[in-house]
Amino acid sequence: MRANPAPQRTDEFGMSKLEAAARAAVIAVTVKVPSAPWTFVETIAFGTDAIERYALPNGLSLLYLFDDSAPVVTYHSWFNVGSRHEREGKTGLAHLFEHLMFNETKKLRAGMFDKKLEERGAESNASTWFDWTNYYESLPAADFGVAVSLEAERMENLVLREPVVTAEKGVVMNERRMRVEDDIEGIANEVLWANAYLKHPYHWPTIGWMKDIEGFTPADCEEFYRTFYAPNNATVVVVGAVKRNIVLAKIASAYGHMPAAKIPAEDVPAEPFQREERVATLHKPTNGEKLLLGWKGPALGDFDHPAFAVLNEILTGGRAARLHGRLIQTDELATELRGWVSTFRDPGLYELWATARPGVDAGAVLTAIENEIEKIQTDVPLDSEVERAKARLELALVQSLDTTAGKAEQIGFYEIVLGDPSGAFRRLERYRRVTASDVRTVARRYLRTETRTRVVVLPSDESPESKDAEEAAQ
Amino acid sequence: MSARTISLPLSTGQRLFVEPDARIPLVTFNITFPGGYAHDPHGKDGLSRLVGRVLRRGVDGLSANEFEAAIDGLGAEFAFDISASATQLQGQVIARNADAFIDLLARMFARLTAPDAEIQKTIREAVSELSEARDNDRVLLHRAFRGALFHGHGYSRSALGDETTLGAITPADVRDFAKRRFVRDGATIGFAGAIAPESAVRLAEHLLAALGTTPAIPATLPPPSAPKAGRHLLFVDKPERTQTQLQIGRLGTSPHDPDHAALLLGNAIFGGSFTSRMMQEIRVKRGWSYGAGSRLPIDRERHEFSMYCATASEDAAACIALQIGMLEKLVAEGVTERETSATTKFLVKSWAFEVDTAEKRLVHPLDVVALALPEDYYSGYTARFAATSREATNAAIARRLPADDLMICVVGTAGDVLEGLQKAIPNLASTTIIPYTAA
Repeated sequence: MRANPAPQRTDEFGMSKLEAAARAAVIAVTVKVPSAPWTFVETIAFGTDAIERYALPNGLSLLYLFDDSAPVVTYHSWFNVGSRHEREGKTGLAHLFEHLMFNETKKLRAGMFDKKLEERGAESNASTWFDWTNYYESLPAADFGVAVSLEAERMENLVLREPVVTAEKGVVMNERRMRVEDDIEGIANEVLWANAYLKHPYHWPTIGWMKDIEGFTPADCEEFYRTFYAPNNATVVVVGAVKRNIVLAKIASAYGHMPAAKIPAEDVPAEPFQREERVATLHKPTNGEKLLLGWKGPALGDFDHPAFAVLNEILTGGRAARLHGRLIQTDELATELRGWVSTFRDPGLYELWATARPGVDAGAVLTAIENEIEKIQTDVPLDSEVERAKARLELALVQSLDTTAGKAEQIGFYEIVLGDPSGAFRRLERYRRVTASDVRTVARRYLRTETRTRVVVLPSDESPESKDAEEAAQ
Repeated sequence: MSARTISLPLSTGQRLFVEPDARIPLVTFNITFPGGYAHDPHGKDGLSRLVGRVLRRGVDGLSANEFEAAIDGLGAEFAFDISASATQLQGQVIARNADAFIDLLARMFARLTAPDAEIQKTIREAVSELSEARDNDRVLLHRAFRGALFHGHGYSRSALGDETTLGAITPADVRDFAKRRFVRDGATIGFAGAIAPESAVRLAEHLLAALGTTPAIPATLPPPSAPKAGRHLLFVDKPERTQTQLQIGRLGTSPHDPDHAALLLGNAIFGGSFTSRMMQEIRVKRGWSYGAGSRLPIDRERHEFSMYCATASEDAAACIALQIGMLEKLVAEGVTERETSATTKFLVKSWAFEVDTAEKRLVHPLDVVALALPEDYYSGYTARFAATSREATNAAIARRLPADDLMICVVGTAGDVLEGLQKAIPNLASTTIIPYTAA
């Protein structure tokens, strides 16, 4: 974690100041070292391009990539705060706060933030997850300064009061109804993580429990703001057709005077080792049974993660994948199948979601999945399968780099989770080194029944006695 | 067409558009055929989508699995997008494998080799997906809304089909339709990304050589008829809903209307952005919905205008009354000069994000052909908004969006909200209730 970094701190790879200075000296041939208040930290290869990292004395970190493929710029602000930083009884605060950041500030009355951006044709939005919160604007490059001044203003001068907080709670409660209460996969996913994690904050959903959302006050929001929204808890990412001297000057001018805050040390309890499968059953108005499985998996930065991503592609990636072929095409048990290795700072889950065809028992789907997992735990996959998986992963990476927004997101995400803004390319290198044997090894290491949590969704009118199990699960 | 788009003639007579951009090693490919789900044979709704799927279930000596593995192995992907009026194959491939990718697609188009058993299996898959679609309240809402608004017209049909129409499709239907749909006549090809124009020509001609030479299925449609007069409520009853989905609308705009740009501008002010009236009144002031907006999709003929939001069931009646009242006020009072000016700026300046990648720029000339849009539809897009006045906007709103005749579609739990909704809708002429399993 990047808690409370000092202005002249050691960089994210654990390099000493001396080593960092040496690297800076080498690349100073091509990068003009900025004048105060900025400290140039390093350049980092990003494919064939180079990201430049700078820091302000107050701890604000800047990652800059020049890209003039279009006359636009993307401005990301990543905060090192997500739902993992909440506590029981106050879940969902990071996400509610993300919504509130689009409202009133000392200098901008309600609605002006969006108006100023829209008048310039900007796209803007935000997102929150377990480990982070992200805000972004993409706008014509000539209007870069508008994004800087707006983001700096809301980092420093947000106004949190009624009736805005109550209205925004209503919005979030409706978002929750849409994504969770009335969405079968959404509620199944929430029950999965709540059962898989008993101590770690990944237990609660980022959107928060409904009763917690209802209870938030402006004072809760103010405390959260003063605790986590400070330059030394943020990373700004700029990708676009704006020259370095303009970027550095405008950001220093807008953020340079802000004081650093004392960011509390993170206190996340370790998740106890799971020793037996956990099962929950839900009843929903649907024609087909659903199955959601979650095995304890690796953290994004874990050495096993790239091999696990390759394993997931072999099992679920595209129509030629093993589980797709078996469940949807050959045995005709399911209509939909998806797999995902979570990409979190701490160990997350490997999720498999399957929708059984009407009349098919979710148990039959489970048996087929287990059968395929057993096969890949017994025999190494074909080299052709591994290569196919790697090709799909490479395609996904290249696709994500098509726009300034895509590049900024990749840079910011890997920076905030791993401290490595070029992590996407580092993963690509690691994918290339994954062997068939590595794939079997991670299948054996992680896909064990005792570390699995299972959520079964049954049509509402089935087995009323199972309602007890459902209530117990929630 | 963007200044960067290259339009090249092909020896086969088709049009090729190329948007070269070698910054990332990716090639985007698109081939568009005239005709979409609105042109499926009567009683066989869903056939267009099905044919697109069956094509990949057995290709020139390759089994379905071998073909998919070959595509994946190239670092490629593709999918068919079936709209009402066009059928598009859109694909992307790592640039170094573009030749091999197009060759595989050419082999796929050359002959549908999937055996009957594989076709029947694909039909069963499509039928089972209908059940899954009913799990999604928004899908239910949009299908029901269009079915009611465009009743009897091609736009009322669904790309998915239904159990009856899919059940009526035979392997022979699929083979015959594939031969008639995937022909050179009317096809338009585009490449974007890391590909030189001469390579694009070579690959396009290779692909076209695999297509049949019979005339294309006509893509024309009659204009939709005006819906029945008055306000009509279609309620899709689904149990256990905590939220009620609302879609309210009527016929919208045609790209050939003289007031097309003015209506688009009016819609953007009303419900097309974060600062729009709907977003402000429904979301920002009242917190009644996560999303709230209005839309004016375009196609070859006049399509829909609709307002959408999803609200807690206890707020549904008040929300629907608010929305209808807002539309009435929009029609009666129009938009302000300030709104017109600010939204025009938004539409003009945000154009930068419609043309910031080669892939996006390629979409425009392809759309012009597929939807029979005016040639300058995209090239003159921003200029038309800049030239649109408040008066023209208000005249378009008054002409096209009177609130007297509305189709109001709701997905919710009837026992919880229906009675309140009926009371909240002024001058409600009729109510129809259908179970979600029949939607």
